[in-house]
Amino acid sequence: MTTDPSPRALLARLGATEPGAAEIVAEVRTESVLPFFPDPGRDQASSGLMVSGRLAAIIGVTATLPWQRAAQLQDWLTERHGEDPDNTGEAELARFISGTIFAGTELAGTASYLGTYILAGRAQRTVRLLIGLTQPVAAERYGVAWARALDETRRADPGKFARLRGFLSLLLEDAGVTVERYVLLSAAGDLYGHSIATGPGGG
Amino acid sequence: MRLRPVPEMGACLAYDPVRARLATLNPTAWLILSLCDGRPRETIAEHFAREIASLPGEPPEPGAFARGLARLAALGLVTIHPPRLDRRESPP
Repeated sequence: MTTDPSPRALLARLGATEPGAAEIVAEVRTESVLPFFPDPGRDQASSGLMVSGRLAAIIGVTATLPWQRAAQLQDWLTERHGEDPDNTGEAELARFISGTIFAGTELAGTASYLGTYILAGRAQRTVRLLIGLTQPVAAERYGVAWARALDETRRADPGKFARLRGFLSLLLEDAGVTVERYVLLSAAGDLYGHSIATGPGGG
Repeated sequence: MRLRPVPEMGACLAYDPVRARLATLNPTAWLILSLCDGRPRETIAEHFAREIASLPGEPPEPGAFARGLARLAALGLVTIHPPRLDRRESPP
């Protein structure tokens, strides 16, 4: 059966009604993504990510681990070093991230350890390490800062380096580790189709 | 102007490539648009009235043609020109 594509055929089938016509507002979707870090060399102030007094971005490192490995991570985080009950592995990790990663640069103190979490309510042992950033930083620079901080720790305090490496090995050893980058939505720039990379004032 | 009937939805899509705009028309509005071929408005209105009268069921409220034409014009799908003056009525 063929359908006659004419208004008369439709009117005969549906009956005449009040004429109606409306514009369809198209929603254009592209494969564009929000930039997390500005391009190297880009003026930080024009990134659209500057947030005063708040975390502009969060980096989440997620791993799905065997139960035993998750338990080992938990042990690592809660293990005490020395007599100080607050000097745990987690406290050491927090100090490393906030105090060492960008040490000696203008970004010193902009990174902070938010915590290592395990996803509740699921059978999978999904563990997520969250790091907060008060200022955006180029991905390359972030990676270099981590490498430099670990190298300096290895030379200055081999024991501490070994402990940190143990933690990172437990978390990152398997394939399937994902790194997600969250940008504070209220500071993420223009989502309406203008230049996101240059922020609300950009062209 | 490109028309794409969508009978399964009881509608017709009208795409204006110049303005890159898309509109959806119900069958009554589509009929009005299909009748707009450059003839005088009154002629089109009469044609529309005949077509509607031949359909089963209740006709739309009086003035439907004028409202539909105005809506199509508002969407830029038709252009309403003022009546052309007869040569004898032309100003000197």
